[in-house]
Amino acid sequence: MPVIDVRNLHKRYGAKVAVEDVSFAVEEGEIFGVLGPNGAGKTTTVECVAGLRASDGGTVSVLGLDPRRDRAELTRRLGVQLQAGRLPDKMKVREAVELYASFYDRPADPGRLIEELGLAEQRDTRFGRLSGGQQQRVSIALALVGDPRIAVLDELTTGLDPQARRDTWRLIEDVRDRGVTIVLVTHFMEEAERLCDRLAIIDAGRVVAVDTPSGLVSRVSPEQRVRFRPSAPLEDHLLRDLPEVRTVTRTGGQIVVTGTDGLLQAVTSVLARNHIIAADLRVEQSSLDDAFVALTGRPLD
Amino acid sequence: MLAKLTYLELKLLAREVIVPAVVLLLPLALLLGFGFQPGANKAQHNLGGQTAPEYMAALGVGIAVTILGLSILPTTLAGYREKGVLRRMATTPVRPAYLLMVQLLIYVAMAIAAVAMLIVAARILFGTPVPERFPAFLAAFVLGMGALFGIGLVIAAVAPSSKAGTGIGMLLFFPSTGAVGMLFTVLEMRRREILDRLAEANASLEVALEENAGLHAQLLVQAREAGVLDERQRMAREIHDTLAQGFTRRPADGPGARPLPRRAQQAGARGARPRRRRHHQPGGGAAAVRQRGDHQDAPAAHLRQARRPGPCRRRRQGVRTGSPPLTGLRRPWSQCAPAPVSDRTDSSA
Repeated sequence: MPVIDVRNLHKRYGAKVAVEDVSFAVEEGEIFGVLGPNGAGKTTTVECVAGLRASDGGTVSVLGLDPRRDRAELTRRLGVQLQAGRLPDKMKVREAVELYASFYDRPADPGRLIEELGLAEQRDTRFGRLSGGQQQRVSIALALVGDPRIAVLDELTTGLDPQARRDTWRLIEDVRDRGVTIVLVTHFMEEAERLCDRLAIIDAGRVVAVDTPSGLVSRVSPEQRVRFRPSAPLEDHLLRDLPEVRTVTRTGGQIVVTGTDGLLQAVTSVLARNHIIAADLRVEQSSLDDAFVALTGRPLD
Repeated sequence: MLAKLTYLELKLLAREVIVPAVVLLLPLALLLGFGFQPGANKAQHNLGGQTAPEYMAALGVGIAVTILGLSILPTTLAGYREKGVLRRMATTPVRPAYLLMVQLLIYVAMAIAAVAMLIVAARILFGTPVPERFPAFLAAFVLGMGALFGIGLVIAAVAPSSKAGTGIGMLLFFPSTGAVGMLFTVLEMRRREILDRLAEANASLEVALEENAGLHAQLLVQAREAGVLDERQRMAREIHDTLAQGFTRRPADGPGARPLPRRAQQAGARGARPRRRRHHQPGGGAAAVRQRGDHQDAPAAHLRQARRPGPCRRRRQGVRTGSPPLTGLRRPWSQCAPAPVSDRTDSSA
């Protein structure tokens, strides 16, 4: 049984439809990604899941609870880190974590949580003086301080430098390893590909696909691409005659060959037979980016 | 939980430093500043019969509550909305309403503290009485605070950011100081000042008018007297001339008579004319001139008179002057004098 079950969710603000029709299910213990460009309806979807907004249609069930009707119970089991959520600038890290711990019946230990999140040195620093990455870590701490079974993290790494982003990713994996189911909302392809067990791609208020990152990639184009610089002139037809090869293109001194599985082996054996050495040999597989373009018809960002 | 939240919010407020200082100390500073001025402890007409400390203590209550309600409350709460603090709380078991309650609780406590400090300081330092109708004072305080905090909450609900909250609060702050009477007191004082000045001007105008009327009446009397005097003199001259002519007439003057020797004619003319002139001059014209206060002109008139060719010479040339030579001097007088008098003088000319 999924811990979060969203079916045909629909939400509009006045005449503007934010979420047209969204359905997905999140299984216990996984990191589930909600990926889509800005304005696709990701945040509205998670706000409906968190019970902050009433939906205009469809059903949402979180741990068997209705997010609107059973809000009090839901808030005890669901930790939420909202997009661009800040704290008063003059509140200290420890004060914030202890305050939010006091909101729950059985909270996590604030001191240990601060240490786990690498904020031990900043425990007496005011929120306004923390770096962006540290502020995000405080936000995660507040989402986890109630010892929730599910954590919803919205746009966690937006605005962070690459190092802080990588630190945050490691942190989220640690949290998952503690048995917390995580819903990660993001518009970073790399983040989704690296962290998520499964993904829902949302575009213009609709779910385009739900699958694992690799499943999404292979679904759209099981294509491989080999790029190399031959040491001696090479006739195109030698490659084109191979059953695995689909296209051969030349750009400058480079040859790019595309085809299906086993392409690399076929190409290298032809080259060996003709005593040609392939310099700068590279094999490229389709990425989630390509999958996204194929699924939505336009690139992310 | 609530205690912890309240304690933390209090700590956050204390870290703002300036905010609590303004609320608690500004009214007190005003009280001390105005209270220690010389003569401040006398009841003042401008302050509705209150002393300065009494007035400032009451004003301080209003200032403390207004700053809290229209400045601090919207700034803080709009800032919390901007930062998403309330939304974050909405995802926890504690409703954001608790945060608002705690905030209001703190502001009410601050208002009470500020007012208590004012009352105690005014009592000890200046002997200002503790509000006598205490229940009424309390009711006014609570209702006023409720109204201002309500406005503050509305601002906090619509302002998109902390800065916008501050701005809107300030925009309402200054007109409201007018609405509670600070501005009206000033206007009322100015109005009174202007009225006082107008009354003063009216009074002096009245005095001037009275004086003027007195002068006018006096002038009238003098003019009439002058007219009567002139008429008497004219009549006296007429009589004199008639008599003189009667005495000097001879049978030879009649038709067909022999003309008089030239000498006799001259003697007759000298007897009448010059004398008439002498009578006329000082008694009539110059007297009138002097009465008008035209002192400078009178001697000048004499002088002109003296230089003129004498009437005897004119007689010798056979010219009889029909009009008296002093008409020119008389004219201003005849213009000033009342009509009946001037008519009579004209007829004499």
